[in-house]
Amino acid sequence: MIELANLSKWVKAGGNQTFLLKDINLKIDKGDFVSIMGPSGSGKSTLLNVIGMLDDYDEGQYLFDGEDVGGLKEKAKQSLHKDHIGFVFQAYHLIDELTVYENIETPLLYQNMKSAERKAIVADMLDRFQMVGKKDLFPAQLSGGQQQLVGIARALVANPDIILADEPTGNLNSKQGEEIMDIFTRLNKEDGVTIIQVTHSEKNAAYGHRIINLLDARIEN
Amino acid sequence: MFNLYIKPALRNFRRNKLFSVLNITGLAIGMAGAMLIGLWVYNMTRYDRFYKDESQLYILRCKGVVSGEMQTWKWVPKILGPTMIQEVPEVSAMTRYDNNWKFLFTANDKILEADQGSFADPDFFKMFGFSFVEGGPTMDWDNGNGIVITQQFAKTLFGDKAAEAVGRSIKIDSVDVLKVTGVLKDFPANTMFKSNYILSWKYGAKLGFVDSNWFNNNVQTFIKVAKGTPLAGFNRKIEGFVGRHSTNPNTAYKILAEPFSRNYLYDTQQNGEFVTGRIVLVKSMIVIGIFMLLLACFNFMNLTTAQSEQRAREVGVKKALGASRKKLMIQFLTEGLLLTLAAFIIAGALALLILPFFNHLVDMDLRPVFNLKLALALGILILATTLMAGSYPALYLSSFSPIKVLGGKFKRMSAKLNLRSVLFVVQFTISMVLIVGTIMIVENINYARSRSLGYEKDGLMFSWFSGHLDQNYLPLRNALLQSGAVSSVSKNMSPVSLSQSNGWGMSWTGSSADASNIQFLRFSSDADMVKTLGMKLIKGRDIDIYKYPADSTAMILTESAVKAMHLKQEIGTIVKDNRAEWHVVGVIKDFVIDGPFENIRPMMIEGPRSWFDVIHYRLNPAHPVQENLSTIKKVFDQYNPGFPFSYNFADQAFQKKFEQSERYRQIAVFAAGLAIFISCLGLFGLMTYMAEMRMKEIGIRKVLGASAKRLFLLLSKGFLSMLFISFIVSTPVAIYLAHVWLSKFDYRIHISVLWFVEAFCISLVIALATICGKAWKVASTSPVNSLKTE
Repeated sequence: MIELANLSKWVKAGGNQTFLLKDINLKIDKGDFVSIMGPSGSGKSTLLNVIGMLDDYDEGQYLFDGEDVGGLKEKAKQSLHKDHIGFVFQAYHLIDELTVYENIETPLLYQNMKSAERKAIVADMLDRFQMVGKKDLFPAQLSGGQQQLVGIARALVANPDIILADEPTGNLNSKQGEEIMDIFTRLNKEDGVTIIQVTHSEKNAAYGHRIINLLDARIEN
Repeated sequence: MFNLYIKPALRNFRRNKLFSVLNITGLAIGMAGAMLIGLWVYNMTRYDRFYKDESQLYILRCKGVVSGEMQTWKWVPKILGPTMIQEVPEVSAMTRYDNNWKFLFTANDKILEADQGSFADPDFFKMFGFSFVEGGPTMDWDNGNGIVITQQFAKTLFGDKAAEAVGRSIKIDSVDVLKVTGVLKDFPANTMFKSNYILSWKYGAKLGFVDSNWFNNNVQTFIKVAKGTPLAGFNRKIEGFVGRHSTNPNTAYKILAEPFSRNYLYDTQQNGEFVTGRIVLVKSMIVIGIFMLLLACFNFMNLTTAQSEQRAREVGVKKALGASRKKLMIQFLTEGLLLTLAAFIIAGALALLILPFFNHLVDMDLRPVFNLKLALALGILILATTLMAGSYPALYLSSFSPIKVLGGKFKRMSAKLNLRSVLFVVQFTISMVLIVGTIMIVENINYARSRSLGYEKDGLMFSWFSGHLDQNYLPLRNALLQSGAVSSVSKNMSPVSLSQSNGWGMSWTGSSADASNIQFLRFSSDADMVKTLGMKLIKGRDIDIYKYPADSTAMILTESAVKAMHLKQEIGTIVKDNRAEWHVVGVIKDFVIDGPFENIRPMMIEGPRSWFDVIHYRLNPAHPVQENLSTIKKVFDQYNPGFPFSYNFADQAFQKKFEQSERYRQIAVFAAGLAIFISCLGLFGLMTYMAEMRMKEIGIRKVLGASAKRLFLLLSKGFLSMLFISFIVSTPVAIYLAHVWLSKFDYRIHISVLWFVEAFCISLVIALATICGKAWKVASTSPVNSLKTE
């Protein structure tokens, strides 16, 4: 489903070229659960952003479902991204001004969906994460773990094939972290959602089928 | 002081460069506008207000019912003043003043025609305190053998020998020789007395300009009354003055005195009272000036409170460290004052820079006089601006509670209805009202421009009678026609675009008793008027004294006159006017002799038994204008030797009538432009700030799949809906103001929905252009940048 071949990304500062990603070769199949590990600055988040089509790369090839992402127009990229990818962030990134319900609903607003249908899906999601009672609260009124649950619910609501999670448990205590990891495992097993997560924690990384180690912008074998 | 308040303020300006620049620019423009308008208003209110004895100076007016309406006018009989000073003990001085005379001067070997010649009585100079450089209004002057000239005119006449002007002789109109008895200090610019030279009324009488008819209202008369004379009692005493002296007390109108100090600003009468006029313009300008300043202050308030989130932490920490709210308010007010001072300096420079343009706009020669009064006014301006702009932000910003702010719970003001939205709506409401006003004025001018005039103004010229033109008219006329430069010639009472005579008291075959109340304009013609002026004859024929000798008492009526007179059989009707009997020979379509915005009044055109002041001639279209002109000049020079050939184009004379309206138009464009510019500065600032604040939200939405287009809409939606609210609010205000404005014009355009739509579209386009770049930039930024957690 995702194939990266000799992919590189760099920035130029002065005369120096600094690689953010170098010669990345990576294949991720449908239904995979991959953990990306590595020290700070090794390029984990950059790799995730490139996979999520939020960021460009400078060299190499990226095939998504057999389609060359590098050759796609901005609009086509956006639509791929919208239909297939859900994001979960370390800092949750909920919209402060919107309620739990509205936060979860937001991706659907960009999907040309009828309001009744949206309502049903959001209600379903609230149900699934046992947050019906909290639907009218604002993010600031929730604990970190609850906020991340909303973040995951929001990532899932548009029914993506892939979830990209950037240190989803980084801001949570271990019990909350376990809960999130359990949800990921269930999603992966029961619904066949492909999951790619960036993490610092060996324990959380172990939830994945395989672990990719990044060091200085390269994949370590 | 410096460390506590000024240094942090300066740092804050540096940190928020864009906001400081926007704030200062907005305030500077607003203040510059207020300064210029203030200068103008001050000058308007000082016009003719510098006389020492002002409280004793009055102008006489007539009041009576004309054509069924109570009216007051500034012209009184020439005999009124001299009679009043003899009979009314309170009146200690009197002068009749008439300007706009033109004579031909011969001094040494210099010959020139000079306008702005006046007639006055000897009291004139003392009453108003006009002083002489040399000489004065001697007995010689009073007896009609002398002339008083201004310094400036002395220079024109005698060049470098101006200092020895007194005692020199000047020949007037190649007929009389007058001695210069006094050189007057030049008149200031802000007085109605704009004379180059002043002649006595005794000389005027010699020329036949003085009559003793109690019903001939044709001169302005000023009186000085004893100190402390109560006006009401005085007016009761003089109101029947004309009635007591005239032979026909029934038709007599009242005489009343009004303070001269009101004369300039209250120059238009309504229902018999001089209650309006220039004062309306002065008041509108004051309102515009205040609005301009308010708009700038609103900007300041908006931009400053928009920074609240940024400043909240600072306020919280300072409070936690023990700063009182008062100290914080002083801090924020100091920031406001510093910004205002910076803006003030720029505004001063800006005002001086655009003063020449502004002077052109208002047709005045304004210049600031740097004195204590001005310093005081500017001080008040700075203080008022600081307080207006700075006090709300100071109150608001200093109110944050440290626990909330530092606990991370602080939330910026939401996008719901808050003061900022209200201010924004007010700004754009004002802008839209001004835009509608501009559109209205432009449309109204265009409407009047395309009005059917009833005469053909292109290719039509006229010359005023001067020198020998009156005597030599017949040979001149023949020579003109033979020269081939003109296709026809007509001699008339006044230019086709200027009404010189009107009256009432006429009667005609079958007229009723109250017909004498109807006012008619008078015009005159010897022959070929219809052809020369390009009018339309509806019935009968044109007057032609050369073909019909009896036409010296012939008369043509306009359609309006026929209607006012209720005539069924026009031709042959006998009209009595001025002790003459006229017989109607034709009817023409109405023509616009008064202002292009005024109603058409009924008019009688009288035959050669009347009087003439102007020659109209229509150019022969077969030759170029320049060629025609040089031919015509030759003919005029031949029959009017010694007098320069002066001519006017009828289309230019018509164009001149729009001067006032054009000025209003320019002022409106100026005000509307500034208002929308200031508002957009604020809009730009708010947009920038909003975009910065919502960077994170936009990033999230992008990651969730929102397209740039949708985000752009999201960012501009709030502003656009506020713009729409402004439109809703501005419409009734604009309709009301348009109604008030247009009611000044008789011939006027109807209020149109289109103006409001246009104004909205203009605001929309300008507002969109303002926010577009910023919103689009934000909407298309990569979310990777805005969502970094590190």
